[in-house]
Amino acid sequence: MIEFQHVGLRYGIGPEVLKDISFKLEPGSFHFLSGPSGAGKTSLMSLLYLGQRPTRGLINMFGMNIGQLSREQLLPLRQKIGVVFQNFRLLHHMSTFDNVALPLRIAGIEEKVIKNNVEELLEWVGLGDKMHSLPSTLSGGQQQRIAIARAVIAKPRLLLADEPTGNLDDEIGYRLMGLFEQLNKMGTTIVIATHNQQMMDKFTHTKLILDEGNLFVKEPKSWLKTKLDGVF
Amino acid sequence: MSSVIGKSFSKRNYDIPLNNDSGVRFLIILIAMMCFLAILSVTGGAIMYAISKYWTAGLESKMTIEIPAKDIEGNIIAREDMTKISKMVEKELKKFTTIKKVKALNDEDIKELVSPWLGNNKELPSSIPLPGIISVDIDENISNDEMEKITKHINKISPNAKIDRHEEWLSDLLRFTGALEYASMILIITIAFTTITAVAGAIKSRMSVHKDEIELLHLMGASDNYIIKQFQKHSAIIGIKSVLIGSFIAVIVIPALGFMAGSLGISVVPNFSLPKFGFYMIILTPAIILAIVIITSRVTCKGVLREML
Repeated sequence: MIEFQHVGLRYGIGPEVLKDISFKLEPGSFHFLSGPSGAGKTSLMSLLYLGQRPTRGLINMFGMNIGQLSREQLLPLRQKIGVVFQNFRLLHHMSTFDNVALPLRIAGIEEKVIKNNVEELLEWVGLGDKMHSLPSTLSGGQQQRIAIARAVIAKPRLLLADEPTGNLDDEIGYRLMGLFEQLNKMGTTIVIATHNQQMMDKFTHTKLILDEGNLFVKEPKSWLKTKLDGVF
Repeated sequence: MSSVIGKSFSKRNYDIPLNNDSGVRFLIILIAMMCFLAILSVTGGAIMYAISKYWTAGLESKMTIEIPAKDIEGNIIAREDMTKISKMVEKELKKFTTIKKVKALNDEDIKELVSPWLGNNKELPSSIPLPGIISVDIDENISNDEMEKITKHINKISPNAKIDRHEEWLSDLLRFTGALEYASMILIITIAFTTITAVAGAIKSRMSVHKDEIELLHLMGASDNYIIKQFQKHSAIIGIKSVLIGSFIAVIVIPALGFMAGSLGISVVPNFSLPKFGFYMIILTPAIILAIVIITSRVTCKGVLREML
């Protein structure tokens, strides 16, 4: 479903922040993305959510070569991707309901369906009573749950989450991981960027580890660290 | 259920927080002033057009023949003789097919003409010499040869008769009103460009301020058109408010200016009615300003979005 081949990324004339990255994400797979600060996690995530194009290499997503697609052709692909940003990126002038409903409205879904789905999901993430509150009046944890609800509402084929449980207490954190697991079982490919080693250890998913722009993989069974030399 | 949807919609005018922007009021005032100035310019242009048409229609096919009060030798012509000469000229002119209407003004008419200088005395002393005036309506397409022929026939009766076709001062006035019409057109074009520049600048500035929100919408798969519609709707609301204010000011100020001009008693400005075309242009001006605002916001927004990923 997603394949990176010798992908490199640099900003302007600066050094490469991602170096010769190659990997494949199979449909319905679950991955943790980890690594020290400044290792390139956010850059790799931005390539995955089509926030930018690579400076070299090929990215193939949903059967399309990203480099050959126009801006308009990227839109339907973006609608298949749900993103939980590290800083949430909520729209603070809109209610919780409207924030979560936004991907469905963009996709042109009927308002009646939007209402049912959004209400159900907000109840599930424990924000049923905050539906009409503005995000700025809610706590960090509640804002994070809005961001997660917005990312999953349209049942994306690929879900990317940057530190999705960072501001949550353990109970809600594991509950949301349960939601991700559930989505994964329904066929959604999931990539979660996290520093939370305890969280990663609780689940037996493949770990993608970035270090100084290089990607390593830790398979769940072997727990062997293998450097990817550009070939899968 | 509908109350929930209604509630969520009522809070959500735009996905981008355009309503919270500062500078909206400034833009409304600016466009309102542009709209007012545009209506004023169009009205001015239409008035100038109407006046020039009035003068053209009133004088281009007219000619005035003046029989001076004194003959060639400097002797004052008696009133009775002057009437006879005027009647002879009138009779002579009626022979020409290119002359549509001839009227020798009688004493009463002439006294009325000179009343601004001599007062409204019904019985002017006979010692005051009065000229003979013959008003003539001529064919618009009269040739120079025909005019020469007419002049010769008049001069046979009155050698020092003056024939005035009003061309000299009329052409000066027409040049003057024409220049004013061009000036109002230039002003309207300037207003249009100023409005375009102001709206384009405001849209670019808003798009720069809300770059993060726009990028977020793009990442969720929103098309350029989805985003453009939000800016366009916002601009349309600003535009409607602006043209309403501008039109309201115009509705108050223009009649007031008309009243002030009327009270000055400028006799050279005739009583006229605006041509239908001018009237429609005045009515259409706010709609044109509104269209400029909406189209500019759409085109600007499209251009900026094209540069984004």
